Parts: sequence; structure tokens; C-alpha cells
Amino acid sequence: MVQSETKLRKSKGPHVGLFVTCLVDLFRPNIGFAAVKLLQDAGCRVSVPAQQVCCGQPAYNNGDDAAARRIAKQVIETFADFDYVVGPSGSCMATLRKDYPEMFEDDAKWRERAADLSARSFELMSFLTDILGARPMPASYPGRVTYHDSCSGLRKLGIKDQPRQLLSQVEGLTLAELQDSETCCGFGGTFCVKYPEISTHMVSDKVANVESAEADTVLGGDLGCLLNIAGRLKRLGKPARVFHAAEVLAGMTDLAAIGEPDRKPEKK
Amino acid sequence: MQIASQQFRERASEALLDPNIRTAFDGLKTGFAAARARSVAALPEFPAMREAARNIRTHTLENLDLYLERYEEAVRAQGGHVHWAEDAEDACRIVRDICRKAGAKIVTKGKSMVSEEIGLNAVLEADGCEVLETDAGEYIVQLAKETPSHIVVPTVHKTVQEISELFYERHRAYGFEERVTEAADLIAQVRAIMREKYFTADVSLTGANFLIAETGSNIIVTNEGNGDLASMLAPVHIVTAGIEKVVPSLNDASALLRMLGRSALGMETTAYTTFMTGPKRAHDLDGPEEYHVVLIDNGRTKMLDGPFREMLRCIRCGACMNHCPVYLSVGGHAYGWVYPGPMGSVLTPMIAGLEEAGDLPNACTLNGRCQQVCPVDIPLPDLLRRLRHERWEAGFVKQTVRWSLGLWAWLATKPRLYRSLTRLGMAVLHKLGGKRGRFRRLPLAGGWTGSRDFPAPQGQTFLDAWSKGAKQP
Amino acid sequence: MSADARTQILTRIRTALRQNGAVPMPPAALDRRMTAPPTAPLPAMEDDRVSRFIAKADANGIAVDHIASLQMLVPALARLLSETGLKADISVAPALADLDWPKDWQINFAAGRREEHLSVTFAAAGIAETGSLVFRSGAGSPATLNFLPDIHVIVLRTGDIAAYPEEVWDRFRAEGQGWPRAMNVIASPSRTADVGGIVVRPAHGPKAVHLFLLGSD
Repeated sequence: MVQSETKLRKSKGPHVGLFVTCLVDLFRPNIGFAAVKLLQDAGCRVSVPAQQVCCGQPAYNNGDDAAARRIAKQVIETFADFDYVVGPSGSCMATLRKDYPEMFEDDAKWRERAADLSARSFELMSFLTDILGARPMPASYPGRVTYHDSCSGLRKLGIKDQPRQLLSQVEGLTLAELQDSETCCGFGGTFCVKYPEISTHMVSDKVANVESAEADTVLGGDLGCLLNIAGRLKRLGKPARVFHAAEVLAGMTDLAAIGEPDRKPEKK
Repeated sequence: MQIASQQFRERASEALLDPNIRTAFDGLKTGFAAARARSVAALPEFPAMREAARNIRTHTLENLDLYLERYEEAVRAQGGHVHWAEDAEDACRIVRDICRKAGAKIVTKGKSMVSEEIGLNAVLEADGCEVLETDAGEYIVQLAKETPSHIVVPTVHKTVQEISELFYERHRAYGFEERVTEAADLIAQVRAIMREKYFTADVSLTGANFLIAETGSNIIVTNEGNGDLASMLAPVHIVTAGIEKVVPSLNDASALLRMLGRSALGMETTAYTTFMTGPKRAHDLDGPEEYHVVLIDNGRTKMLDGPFREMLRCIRCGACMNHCPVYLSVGGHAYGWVYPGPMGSVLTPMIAGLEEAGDLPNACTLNGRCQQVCPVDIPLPDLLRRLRHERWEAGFVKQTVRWSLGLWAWLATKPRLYRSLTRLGMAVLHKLGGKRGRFRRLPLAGGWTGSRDFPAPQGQTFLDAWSKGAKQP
Repeated sequence: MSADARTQILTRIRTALRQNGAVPMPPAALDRRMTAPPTAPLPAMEDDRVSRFIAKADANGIAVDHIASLQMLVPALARLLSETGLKADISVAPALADLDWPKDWQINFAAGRREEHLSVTFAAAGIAETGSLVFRSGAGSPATLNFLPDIHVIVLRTGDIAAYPEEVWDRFRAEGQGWPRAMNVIASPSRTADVGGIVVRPAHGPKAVHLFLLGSD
């Protein structure tokens, strides 16, 4: 159900259901607000259905397909009436786009509904660039940033250039590419607590690459990876700050960076 | 080979603390992965060639019965023998019987993964044979009574110094009294020892990178020339191969070989590619008098029957492990069996059993890099996820995990209850940790906070703040 | 026993493949695909095949020289022997026995021996794509001579250089001599990196490969 161009140009704009994602909802609402701002700036009507919880990926990736299907059905119903479903995470949106149709391989009715949701579901930054062709409102972030390509977004959804394209329009921002930016940071959902030592080894490599990029800020498109990277940076006492790219693009970096002490936004 | 996959966690922890393993496997990243990237970048046709390779394997598997029959006919027409083995035990017995009939005392071996899979060396040794791995790496690992840590570079975990020490101790039996420390001198000893063995061996054993239905040939690829020499100098040559190794024609083999060298080592080709077809002919001046092929099922027909058929496309290049951040962190031994890394985490449960493979399918972040570099596009992450599902269904998942995931999943379908619980939870966490912005320790989260701070939540949940009309937290 | 295993395995394969109404391809179509196989996409080749072959062989560590005719082989070998300081105690593929070999050379026109300083063999084809040589074993060309010597001397007709291995297979199919016991495709001297990742030449095979290209294209 891709919108025709004429409908996109209507003043009301497409109706987007924001899939907040459970991590953003709980740990970093600022990313949710940033996503809303970016979508509204780009001319979308944004709604946030209150029935949403999680995409079900933890159940699916741990092999509990039945539970994953129950959660998926709830998401499919909740987001049935939107033109688009957009979320600030490559990982969760890949679950909606790629895993849901697969989950209902043997169920014709739900497979069709899953396919319908899949076709309308997008990760935030790829939605802004690939679907809307939007230029975000000017934001500024003076600093040398580096970007971690989260795996699901990169390999399942082909997200690579989109965030870079958007970030290149941020005033004062210099992008220093991260060595091995496409290598997993070791988060991997429940992997990071099931295999903490291996996960730590992987995130330590990531942190070493952040240091050699001489970046003062790490950005990414998935809060899970960012919590992991920020957590390790902080534990090692490294100064680099960590934000979701949406926060930078929306100019919403006045609050404390991920894992940093509370800071009230400055009154302007 | 004993399966120790259930001890993955313990073995991984040990490996992470071993500085030699660290150096060795960090080297793979900059070595093989970078070499592969260069060779792929140099070839604009690579994606098309990869797709063709995938299609060849798929086509062959879809018509496996006929191609195996044609292959068998072709081998027999050239005077070779074909044996079929249901499982490891069957295969070992067949090989042992051929060796017994040949009165074998010395058996020289080219590299064969499937022979390790079926535990062949131990069976032949128990039968009184001296079994010698001839590939320098496999030989070193055998001499050290270890197992390979990588399918292409078995000795990646061993330092030159360790090998020097090993040879000093064990090569005195061959008259090498002096301690040598240079790689070239160490290899010269292997060369001298093996040269003697090639000529005195009664039976040679090799694997097959591919079997060709058109010609009845088996192919081996080496850089050393070891399997080639072994197979042409012993009077009896036995090939062990999984039934999935067959391809229709020489052309198909060439298409796959193009992918193999590049994916494994970033090389266009190995030094030697040898096509062996039957025993010595009437007027030939060399070659074995007898040529046997043992076609081994050992779980492969089971894989053919369902979604794991895709795994049978595997050409054993090792690219998946060279690019797997988990493998590169813990090394090959942690996986506890013949096949390590992503391909091993699928093959071990499929061949050795879901229970014996332990938690291997979970030792993966599903980051997808392995499929991206796989020359035949095997959806390794999907297959690993399917195995997790099978483990879940079979009841191999720990109760604590089932219970906590179950509780969470139940809560996830009760949005209102979830809302009020998380609202409270995040508020409490924020109160406790907001000032610092993070936790150094959290109850029940030791897996995380053992090595990482846990970023504190911002306070209100997004949905709570949004429902109150907020524009920011 | 093993006949039984054969039936069991093939039956299981057929059961697995014929599910959900999957229809197998007709055997005749598969036989055609096997004996007149399609060619998969090939790496582009910009140079002509001879220059490409020479460049690749050279990069692989094969020394390449030219001789106008087979008569030139013996003098060229004599030079090589004196340069390397080797005794004229060599093995030569019987296919080359008719050349005018010096009477005072010790020549083994047979299979390779345990100690083999230098052997001379005749390649059936060259492959420009990889700079490789293809050998067919037979009464005139024992395969052991390609692996046992320290120095492997190869003669190849320039006209036998193909662009890709597929062309070589096509040629062999067309020649209709059947498949020899061994086809050895050799791209470089023998090597290993199994000790500390350090490349060592040789491992089990020749430490040097010397190619004489015969005649022009």
C-alpha cells in the first residue's frame, strides 16, 4: 500500500504510526520525540498507538515462535490503519519487515496481513530518505562523530548511506568513519547477557575503533547497540558521548547523552 | 572425535584469556577477511558468479539421486569402486575393511573434513594402522594430539615456538636431533618425513572438494601437493566424501572453484587442483592399483528433507568463520567438534544431534555477516534461528530462560499492565541511577554490568510522556 | 550391506526431493546438462590470452621462457642445469623421449623417484585466467613427475593456452580420449603457511617451476 505521489503532496501528508520500540520507550524517550519531530517536519501526521509494546524479536530469536506470533499479531492489529509504520531501529523494523511474513508461513490469513504490514514498515532514517526524500530542518552538532552500522539495519534493510546522507546536512558535524563499522558490537539482543565475556570482547574492539577514529561522539540507529557501546565506554572511563542519530538530526542533544548524568535542557 | 560442544561456554571463556589465541584469531581478521575483500573487489563479476555458484549447488541437490547414480556409473566405468555408508560407523567399517584387505600398516592422509566427522583415524589406529596426516597443518595438530581450530588453517592457534618445541621432542624418532626454530626448517623436516611415508604407505586416504558426475572424478585442492602425492603413490586410494559433494560437470566444478579460493584465502586458485578418476590405467606408469570412494550420508539425507537443505550447499571455504566476530573472539576449539564457526553451529546439531551440540546455535548475534560472505549464500542466521526453535520445542532451553521469556512475552500482550509496571520500574531506576546516568551494578543484570555500565533510563517512558502531551522527556 | 545402504540412501533422497508435488527434471535433460554443461559467468579478460597467461604465471612464481621449437629444449635445459649447478641426472616424461638427449645425461624416462632433482614434463593445456597448467596422466606423462622433483620443468605449446578452464574441458571432451586417471592443474610451486602463517616454499612438491613456452600462438 505505497502511497501515490499525489497523496503524499496533500497538505495533511501520510499518516504514520510510530513504532517506538520497547528500548526507546523505556530507556530513551528522547529518541521517540526526535523521531516524531523528524517525521512531522517532513510533513507526516504522526500517531502513537498506546497498544504497542514490543516487536517480539526476543521471543523469535530465542526460538519461542508461538509467543513471537502472539506478539506479532498484536502489532499487526495495532498498526493496521496507518499509511506507514516507522520506527527508530533497524533491528525492530527488520522484524516487522522480514520476520513477520516468515512467522506466518503456514497461516494464509495472517501471512497476508503480515505481508501488508511488512510493505508499510520502515526504519526511520531510510523512510526519511528513501520514501520521503526529505531534507531535515537544519540542525547543528559541532563535533567529530563516528557512526556504527547496526547489523540488522545494514544487512536486512540495506541501511548504510541514508544516515550518512542525513548527517552530512547537520551543521558543524564532521563524520570520521569507524574502522570495521559493519562489525557487530556484541549486543545481539539476549546474546549480550547470555555470553557476557564474548560480548565484552566484541564491544571492546568497537570501543578501540571509536578511540582510533578520534571521535568525540558515537552515533547509530539502534538503541540496543548504543546502550552496549555507551555502557562499555563509560565503564572504561572514555569520554566519547553516545546518541541515536535521530537525536542529532532533530537537534535534540541538549539532554544528557546515553549513560551520562541528568542534565536539564537549557532554556532558550 | 569426541564432541565437546556442550562445554562451549567454558571453553570460550578459557580461549578469551589465552593471549596466543587472541593474537592468532585477531590475525585472521586482518589476514583472510581483508584478502577476501580485495579479491572480491577486484572482480566486478563476483556477484553474478556467486549467484551461479549458488544455483549450481541448488540444482545439484534438487537432483541429487540422479547425479549420484551417474557419478557412481562413471567411477565404475573407470574401474573404481563405490561404497555407500549410512553413518559414521558404517563408513569407518568400510574403510577399515578395505585397509585390512590391503594389509595396510601405513596410511597416508590428505585433508578430509568428513574423515574427521566420522572419527576415522581412531578406528584405523585401533586396528593397528599408523595413520599420518600429510598436510603440514593437520600433521602438526595430529602430532600435538590436538584438533584443528580452523577448517582451512588447522594450526592457526599454534605459535612457531610451540611447533619448534613439538618437533624437537617428537622428530628425534626420525633422526632430527637439532632444535630448529625457523618455519622453513620446520617444514623441511615435515617434507623429509612425508616423502618417506608416501613411498611406504599401503593405503592413501583423501577427501573430495567435489565429485564430478560427468567424469567420475574426485577433486582435491592443496597448496602443498600433499594429498596429490599421497594418492598417486600408495597402491590403494580411498576417497571419503559426503553425498552432497557431487556436482554435474567439470564446468560446474570450475565455477565453484572460482568461489572457493577467493572466499577461503582471497586467492584466485590454490597451487594444485587435482582431478582423480579411477585407478591406474593399463599403460600408466604411476597411480594406485585400487580406487575406492565411500559416499557418506551421516545425517545429510535428513538435512535434505526440509529447510536445512540449504546448508548442504556448503563448500567448506571457511569464509563464514573468518568473518564471524564470535568465532574470531573465541577461536575454533571452543566449538568442540570438527566444524567450528557459523557453519559448524548448524552442522554440529544436524549431524551430531541437537542435544550434543549444546548451546551452539545461541552463540551468535545473528549479525548476518556470515551469509553476506558465503559464496553460496547459505542463510546461516535463519538456520541458526530455526535450530533455536527446535531446541525450544525439544525442551533443551534452560527453565530460567523459558520462564523469564515466557513472563515477558505474556506481559507484552497485556499493554495496560505492561504500561503501569514499566512506568513504575523506569521511575524507580531513574531515581536510583539518574544522577550518575548509569549503574555500575544492578541486581539480576550481572551479565551486563560485569563489564559494562548500564545506562539509566530517562525517567518517564515515552508512551507515558506522550500521553501527557509532552514534546520531549 | 553396502548395497542396502545404497538403496536406503537413494530412497531417502527421493522421498526428501519429491515432497509437496515437486517433480524431478527428466533424466534426459539432466544428462544433457551434464555432458554439454552451461558455462557460468566468467571473469572478464582484457589482455589477449597469451599475455594474460604469462603475466599470471609470472605472478604465481613460475619462471617463463620461450623456445621456438622442441629441438631448443635440450640446450635450454643444459643452460638451466649449469645455472643451478645440478648434475645431469633427471627424469623426463616418456612423451619427450624422442628428443635428441645428450648421451652423457642420466635420464629416467619413467615414473618419479623418491629423490628427484629435476623433471621435465609436457602440459596438455594452459589456463590464462589463473596462469595454470593442465597435465593429463598417461603412458607418456606420469603424474608423479609433476610433484616429486625439486625443480619442475614444463613444456607447453603456446597454442594450447586457453582463456578459461571451461575451454580446456571442452577441448578434452571434443578430443574424445576419455578422462585420464589424473588431471593435475598446477598454478605455482608448492607452498604452505601452516607454521606461524609464514609462507614457506616448498612444502611437499617442487620448490621451483620453470616453463618453456613452445612456438608462437
